Amino acid sequence: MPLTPHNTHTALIPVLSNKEIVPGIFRMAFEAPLLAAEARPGQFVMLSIPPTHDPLLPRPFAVFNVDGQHVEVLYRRVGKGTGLLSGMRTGDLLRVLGPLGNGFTLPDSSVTSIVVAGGIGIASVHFLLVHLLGRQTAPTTLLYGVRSHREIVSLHSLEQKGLLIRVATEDGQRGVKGTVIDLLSTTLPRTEDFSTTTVESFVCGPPAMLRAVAGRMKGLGMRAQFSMESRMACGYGVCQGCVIPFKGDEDPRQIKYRKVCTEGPVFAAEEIYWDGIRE
Amino acid sequence: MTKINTTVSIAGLSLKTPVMTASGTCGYGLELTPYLDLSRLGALVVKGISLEPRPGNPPPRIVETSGGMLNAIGLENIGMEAFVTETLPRLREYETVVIVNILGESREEYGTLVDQMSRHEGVDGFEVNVSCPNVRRGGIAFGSDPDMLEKLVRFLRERTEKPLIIKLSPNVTDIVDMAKRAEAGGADGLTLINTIRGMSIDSESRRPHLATVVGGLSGPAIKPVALRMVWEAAQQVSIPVIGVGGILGGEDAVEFLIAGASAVQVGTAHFRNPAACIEVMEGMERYLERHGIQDVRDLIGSIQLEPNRMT
Repeated sequence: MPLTPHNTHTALIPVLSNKEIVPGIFRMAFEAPLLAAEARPGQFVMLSIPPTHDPLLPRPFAVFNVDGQHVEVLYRRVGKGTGLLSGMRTGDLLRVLGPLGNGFTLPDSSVTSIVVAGGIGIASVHFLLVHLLGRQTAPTTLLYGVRSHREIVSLHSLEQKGLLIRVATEDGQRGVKGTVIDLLSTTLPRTEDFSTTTVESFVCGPPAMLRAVAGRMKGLGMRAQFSMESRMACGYGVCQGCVIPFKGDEDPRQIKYRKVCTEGPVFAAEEIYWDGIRE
Repeated sequence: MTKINTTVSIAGLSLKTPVMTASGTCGYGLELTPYLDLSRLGALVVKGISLEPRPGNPPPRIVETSGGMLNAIGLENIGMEAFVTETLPRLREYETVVIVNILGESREEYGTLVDQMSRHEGVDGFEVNVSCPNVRRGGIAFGSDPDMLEKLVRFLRERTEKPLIIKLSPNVTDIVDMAKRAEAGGADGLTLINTIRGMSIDSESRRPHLATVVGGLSGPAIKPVALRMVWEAAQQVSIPVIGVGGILGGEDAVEFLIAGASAVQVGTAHFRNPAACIEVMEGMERYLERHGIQDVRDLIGSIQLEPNRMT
């Protein structure tokens, strides 16, 4: 769905809480009733800290959760922007623009859902999981890959609502030793099950993982909605900086570009020109 | 107290405020409508339009740098046909001056763009992009060769009665010469400056951050360069100069007016805040109030220089 005039807001919003839930990963909540009312799974917000010009540009963050009038994001502290963000305290003001982007398309309630998340990609699918668990009659499975077991974000409350979780850690300390690709190979039903429309999959993670998962899923005949990341300046379609390559409509060798911010961030895996995605 | 006058006249256009959008930072204008009333703008300068649609450069196209950002979008745009049939009618619903930024790879292409679009009532004027650093052919050649620039402007002048504003490149040896040549060719106004060529490298991977290696630098980092060029050019030409480069707030805009600009454009600030133009406008009005200035035009070129300065 395209960005429509009435569903976006820009405002200065107070931080409610900002906690380091596992080393280097923070869960931040802010009070934003309009945003909370309108945000859908897979959408994102642009956050910036108003007085500073360094960093100059806002950064995109997936909507991790909505609780009443509160909106939450989950982020890893990696650079200057997230460093400053991690230092924000209750009552500090953030500039928030959103909700932005198309979001995931939710399947019929009878469809089995397979959600694949790598690392901090969990931030983009958590709100989706909340929605799926609230409406699907068919099971929802999360394949969750992380480098180290120390990075695992607890999803206990979702498990209590019936989420099946398969974990892969590269250090082998929890779940399967390996990556989500190994989980795809070992825990999924057989190929013929995907030839019907009874399974929908949703994927978010680092580029190398996305490419590998896309290849694997293509082999299995699975349909998938991929949440893509890209460096953004504006988040609302004006800078045209966040494009990624797609196969042309008529000639798949003819590359075209689409904006992750307003045409995505969720795309059908088979439309993406994976060889043109930088890792 | 009488109401402060913020109206300025540029290239035959009456603008309700000297604050306008910079091309390439607000799409075709419609993208801003969720966040602000376009009719409050001095003018809307839309993204550069070429004869045919352009796909733009491969990603990564942008990277943030200290106090600024580099871009290499490559003039991605929907092309003239789609612009005049789809976008322009929708823009006409707003009471705002629409300036169409145009770009071509040859003199003939620029000429066709001006010929065709001059016929459309919704087009209030042209800003001729002779300065994009991000495409291999055309554009920049006109912006870096004084003779070519003057000839191009003359060629376009013969084709339209509508205001012709030339957006100059800072990537030249002598900005004043370029400004004079554009004026000699018959330009109604000048926009200074486009982005400055720059690059950025990821030291870990040793790879450039941009797929095109080199891009255009914008944002507060280039404001001193832009101010200097506006100041130099404005003294040497009699047509109005529009200042652009790193304007985030009202005071930034005021500085450009003081340096000699008759109007300003807000660019990269849109990426921080879609309503950046309104912030700049209101900040500028507060400045005028605070200083008891009744007419914004009194600021233009009002720089106070030491009488015995060494230049």
